[in-house]
Amino acid sequence: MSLDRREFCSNIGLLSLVAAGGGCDRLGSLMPAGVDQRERPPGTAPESDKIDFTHHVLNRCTFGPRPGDRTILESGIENWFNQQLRPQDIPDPLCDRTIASIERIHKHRGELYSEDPRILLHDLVRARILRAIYSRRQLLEVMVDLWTDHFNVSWSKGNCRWLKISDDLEVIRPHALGRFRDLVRATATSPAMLIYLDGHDNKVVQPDDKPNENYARELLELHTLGVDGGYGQRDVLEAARCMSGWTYGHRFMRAGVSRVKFEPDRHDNGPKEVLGVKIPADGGPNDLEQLIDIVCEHPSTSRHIAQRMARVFIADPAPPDAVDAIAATYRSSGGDIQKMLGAVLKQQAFREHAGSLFKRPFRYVASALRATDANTQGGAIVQERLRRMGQPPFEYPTPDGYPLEAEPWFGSLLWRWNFSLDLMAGRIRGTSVQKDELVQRFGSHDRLLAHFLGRRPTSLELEQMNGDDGIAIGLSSPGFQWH
Amino acid sequence: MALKSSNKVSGSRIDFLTSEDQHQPVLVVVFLRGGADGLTLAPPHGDDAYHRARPTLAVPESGLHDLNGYIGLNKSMSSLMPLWEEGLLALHHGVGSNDVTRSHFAAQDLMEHGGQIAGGWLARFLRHHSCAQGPLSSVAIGTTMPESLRGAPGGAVVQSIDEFKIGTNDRGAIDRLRRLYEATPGPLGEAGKGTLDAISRLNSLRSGPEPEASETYPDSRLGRGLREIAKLIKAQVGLVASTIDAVGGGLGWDTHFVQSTAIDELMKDLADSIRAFVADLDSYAARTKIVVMTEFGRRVSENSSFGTDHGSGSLMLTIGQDLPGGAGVFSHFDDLSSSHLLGPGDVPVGSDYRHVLSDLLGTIDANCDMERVFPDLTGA
Repeated sequence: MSLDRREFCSNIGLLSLVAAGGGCDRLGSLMPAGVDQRERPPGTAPESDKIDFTHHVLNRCTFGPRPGDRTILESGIENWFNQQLRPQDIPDPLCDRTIASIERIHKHRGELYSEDPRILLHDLVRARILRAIYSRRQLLEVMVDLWTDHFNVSWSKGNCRWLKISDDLEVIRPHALGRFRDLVRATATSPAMLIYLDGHDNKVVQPDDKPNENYARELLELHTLGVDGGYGQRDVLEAARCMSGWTYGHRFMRAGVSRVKFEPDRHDNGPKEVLGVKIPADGGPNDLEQLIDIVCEHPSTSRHIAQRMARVFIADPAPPDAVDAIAATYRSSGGDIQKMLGAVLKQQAFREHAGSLFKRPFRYVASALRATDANTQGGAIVQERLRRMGQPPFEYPTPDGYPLEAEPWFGSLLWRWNFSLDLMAGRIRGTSVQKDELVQRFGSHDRLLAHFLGRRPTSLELEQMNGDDGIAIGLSSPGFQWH
Repeated sequence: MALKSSNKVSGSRIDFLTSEDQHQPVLVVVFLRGGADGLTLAPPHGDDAYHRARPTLAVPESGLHDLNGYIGLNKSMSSLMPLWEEGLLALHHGVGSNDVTRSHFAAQDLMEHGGQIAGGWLARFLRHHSCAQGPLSSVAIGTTMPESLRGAPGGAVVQSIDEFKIGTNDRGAIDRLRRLYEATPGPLGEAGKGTLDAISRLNSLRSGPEPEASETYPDSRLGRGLREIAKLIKAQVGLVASTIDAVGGGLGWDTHFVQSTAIDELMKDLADSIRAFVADLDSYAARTKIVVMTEFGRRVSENSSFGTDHGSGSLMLTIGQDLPGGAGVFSHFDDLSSSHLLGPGDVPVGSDYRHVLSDLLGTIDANCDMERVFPDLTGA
């Protein structure tokens, strides 16, 4: 009989599918109930009526303060920040072990094709959630989030279902705090990206073949120069010619060969000119390198990237002075992401915009679980909540990535409230909060609320956030929707 | 893609609620999973080739209502005839996708994504809708998120609208949230109040008497689901699009084997449910559009087990007032003799199903950029 997928899914249900695959249960080794190995430092709460700088830095450079985080920053914000810029030097054994226990995402890429892609997505999202909540390398996680949107590849297109894992773990993560050029170069030969933007089908075999321009256009419009970056249709076509011949064949993937390859027969080897820079004939695979150099060194790219960093870290819309300064750092450092982040923190505008960014759903969920020091598996139930709120990781359909603006997310309040109410009432299976202990760690309910809000609660807030569900109301309140 | 219009939204409908006289258009998608046989739903009874290819399965003249001398409507769907007579029904025959796999999974994905692209067509429509999307903008009735809503700005999958509530509907929590959001200036405060109002409307609907029309719905998954959708539409809580599968028991529309035993019931359920839905909507039907679609049609010739196998072109129904292109029969084939068929003997795909959807979406939000919804679709 033929398989009706909907019928199949509704009968078996993804949850049980995941469980049958060993998804949830095996993770128990990470943090088995009652044997939670995490440290439980006393909570420290802000004490002023406005969000102070320490809380602000935690809001922007992490997925939200956990109870003991302020204490860590007391030893010097700059020192902490510089450590965050070198995630490889931050020991993070508990989180590393957890991620390592999610076995499927570490399988040989060629073997993934035998897996149900829905379970692969579940595992990959789970790793993303757990890292956002538990990793000590928080700035890395925030930057991974930023680049995941910037170089968006939706899981749901064709073979991306199997290739997204490699895009996340081998393309985005290793370069998230590196050099921008390396990131562009890595994405350009990411199998998932080549599928997602049809680059795998960009070929010039006969002299009059037209290259597939899709990827070249997004490279200029979204990844580098920006839509008003000063390129024309001619540049898109020439860039597409440079990128022709880079492909990957999934038949080979099945055999375990996961490399994207350059096929000279499909490459347009004639002379080219991109953004006024000539590329001589017969460059072969080197045309891609030259193209990436040209677009990454273009001044519009420095502004476009600075713009995104300012919108994520400072304010939206981005303050122009801050964009100028970050862009200048991009140019002087050759696109060094760490140096650009250093510039972000030095901006006066950074100080002035505390609490002005609306949390997107992923950040909302992560910050609530961090603020309450929750114990979570990041499994299918939390993931379903994110889907309701409209931001399940890796599922944004179009290449522009999840929106950074606040407006598209205002519709998700109902699901945020329900998440917090259910979380604090123990109605989210696989996720729990030690409520009484949490209050004790802060010494008082009011101080816990201050920890949520980054400031002392107002009298109205104190009044509404009392009682049994007071913590849930705190997490549902307008104040906790901003960071 | 061109990013000029970006993700900016007007925010003009931030409270997510509308009053009765200005209620917004709604699209309801009914998906016939399994590959419905368009030639049985709307038989081309005026075609000799159809009768030759289906010696046992061709619908006899006595089993159909003639619509235009060539195409008829199966009498199992008689309850749609009043809609036909009122000019509220259009049949698009010989439409489909360019799927070549004839696999349910691949064909449904292709169709629900709207091409070889990421995310669902409904999701992209909602992302690029000219109004802000509220908590109840898109609702799938069922148990799993359909691919058409993959990547939506917030898609809820529910079996009943009772699932839309705040926590456990605890009055205290709701009141406290209201006090906090009412004291909040700007769009967040508006959004919070709008959300609270929407839920409170649904609550009063729940506590009120059951609407009379509900009795005429078939007691089927489709009937019950459409009844929930009607409640949402009538509550005016910002629904823009809803999707529901019409699946019966067994293999549903996937009628390889003794087709007639299964499909008559399914057709009756489909037609009766839609008829009840339109009647239930009453004045709200004026701005509600329904589209009935399936991943592919079936082979023209019947097989040796009195069934039909996976094919290509099939039937789409659109229902509502002021249908784009009008009501009537739009047949993209006029002869099913073998030389006109596709591949192994399929109904040809004379028109891309996305044209039907894109025209229909234009009536839901005239300002939505259809190139962003169906980027691969060429031609008007």
